[in-house]
Amino acid sequence: MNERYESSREEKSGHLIKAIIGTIVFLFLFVGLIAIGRYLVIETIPEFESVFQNTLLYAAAIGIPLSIVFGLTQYFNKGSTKRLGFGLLTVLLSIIYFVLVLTSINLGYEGEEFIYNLTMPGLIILIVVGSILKGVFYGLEYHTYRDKKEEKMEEDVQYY
Amino acid sequence: MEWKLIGFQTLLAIFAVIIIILSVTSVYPALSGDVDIDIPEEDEVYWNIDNGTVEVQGTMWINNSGYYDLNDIDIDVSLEGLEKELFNDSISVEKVEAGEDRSVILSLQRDTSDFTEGDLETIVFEETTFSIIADMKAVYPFSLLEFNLDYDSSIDWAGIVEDIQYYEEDISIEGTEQGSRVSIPLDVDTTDQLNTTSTVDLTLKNETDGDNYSETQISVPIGGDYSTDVTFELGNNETEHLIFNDEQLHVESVISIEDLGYTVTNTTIFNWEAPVRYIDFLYEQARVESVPTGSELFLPYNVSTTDRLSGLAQADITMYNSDQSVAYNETREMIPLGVETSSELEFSLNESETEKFITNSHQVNFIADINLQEKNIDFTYESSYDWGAPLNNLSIGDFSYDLITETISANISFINDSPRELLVNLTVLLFNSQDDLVGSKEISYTDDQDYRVASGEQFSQRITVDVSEEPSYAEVTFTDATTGMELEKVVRR
Repeated sequence: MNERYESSREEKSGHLIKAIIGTIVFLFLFVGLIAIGRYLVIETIPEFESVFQNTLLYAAAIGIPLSIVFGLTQYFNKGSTKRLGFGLLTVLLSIIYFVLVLTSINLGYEGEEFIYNLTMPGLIILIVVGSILKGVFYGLEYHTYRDKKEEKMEEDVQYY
Repeated sequence: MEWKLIGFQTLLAIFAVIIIILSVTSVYPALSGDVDIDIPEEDEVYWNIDNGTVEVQGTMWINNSGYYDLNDIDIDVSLEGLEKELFNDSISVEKVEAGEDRSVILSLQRDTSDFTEGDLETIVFEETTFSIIADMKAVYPFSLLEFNLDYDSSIDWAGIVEDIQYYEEDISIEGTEQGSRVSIPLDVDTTDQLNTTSTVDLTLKNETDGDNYSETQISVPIGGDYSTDVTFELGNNETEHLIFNDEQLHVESVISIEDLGYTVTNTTIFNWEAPVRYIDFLYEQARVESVPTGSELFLPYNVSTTDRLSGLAQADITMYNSDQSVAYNETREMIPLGVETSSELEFSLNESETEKFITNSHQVNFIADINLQEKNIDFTYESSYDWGAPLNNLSIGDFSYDLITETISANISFINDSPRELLVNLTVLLFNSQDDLVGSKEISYTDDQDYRVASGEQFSQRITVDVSEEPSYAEVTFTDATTGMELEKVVRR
């Protein structure tokens, strides 16, 4: 009984570290990289400031909760309903994040006589599809680990 | 089951990598200028007018140096101006492959009948601005990227005929067999945006009576600067009119641009400065003088010609009687041009002509055939004058011989029709039938005030001369101290 309790404590401690690392990595990827990239582009080519229209704001506004939700997803056990819920929420937030951030990037140029504009509908759709596939992955993961959990519970009942 | 999850996760990772590769390979070339659409610049837009159609052409380049084909390229182009949309065109290009530079010809056409008269006038003569508006769309496969280009640029239009300039100060006239030829230097500055020809029908009119002097036609190539001399052939009457008279000349230009179906009339007014400002014969100063060879009529004159003329004018002047049936004499004068000249015409007179000019007031006519040598222009100048004879209606008569006192008397009368006072010296010589001098008398204006005969005054004196015997005839000599005029008249009783 004590061994199983110790094992459970170690598992939770590992999930916490994983959650913190996941949150930090996501914060870096979804907010930090955007901030650094924006800074480097504007410093290098000042006239490209107009490329980023509220991009950093959107990245921060959605990226921070996305990172936290992703961390929470990592914190909970595979096969748990909470992990599935937070996982799907992560997917939803990431879709919102990509749509908002990518559409806020104005890859165009406004000259004296022309306006050149570049949009990325195909890429956005691909990213949304990818995110949805990630959601499917969470579903599969829940399904797989929920079955394993039930098997383990049956084994524990037999053990007692 | 876990291996399935691992496999799915691996696929997701691969999918993410693909997205990243697609993003980089599609966005980077677009941002770095490897995918570029070049709209024709103003000087790459070509205008053409042919058979009643106005055409605007330009070449657009689609440069695709990216990694993917450009698909579904739609280009909408319109040209606006004169407060309306003049031209529009839509072009679709299915595909420009990766690495290909594709030229797309834009050709905008419109029938000239769609333009109002005001539009055409603006197009021909005025500066205006056209706006070229282009809207282009293109996509990468699967709409990975969509390109949109909105282009709005102005094309300055200087007019087909930017400037027509006649050089008034360089108008010249030269003689021809029929009269003369007036040349007016002309510069026409036309747009280099077109390559066509215009026909210009020109009419030269004078303002005084609106008569058409002459007509001519020139062809003006459109497509740059063109210089020519517009020449008008004039007859003798017009030539003589222009030689002596300042005039406002109207050059009416009917400009026809046949391809455009446009005709416009333009009138330019010139101030024509007569080459010969005046020829004045100073009749009041004309005089008859005795010279060793007989006598001469001197007629002072003033001639003023424009300083645009140079060289000499040769004037052959003939003096005629009133009905021009008798030519008294002629003289030739070489008159310098471009300056004011004062000189005298000299006509030699024989004895009878001398007497006629001294004693008979009558109309004389001068006809001058003048040739401006450098310009080779011939013209005729005519003038007439009522010559006032100094001893007009001279009468010597009513002789009476007094045997007792041995004197002879006679009446002498005349009217001084000349414009100046006569200072008469009178000499009377009396001869017998053997031509021996039998008496004489000299009377001078210095001794007798009656011999100062003012202009218009009648002279009437009875002269008495002492004689040694009865004379048969008299030689009466009149001399004018002012002019040197001398008339000797033999009078028999």
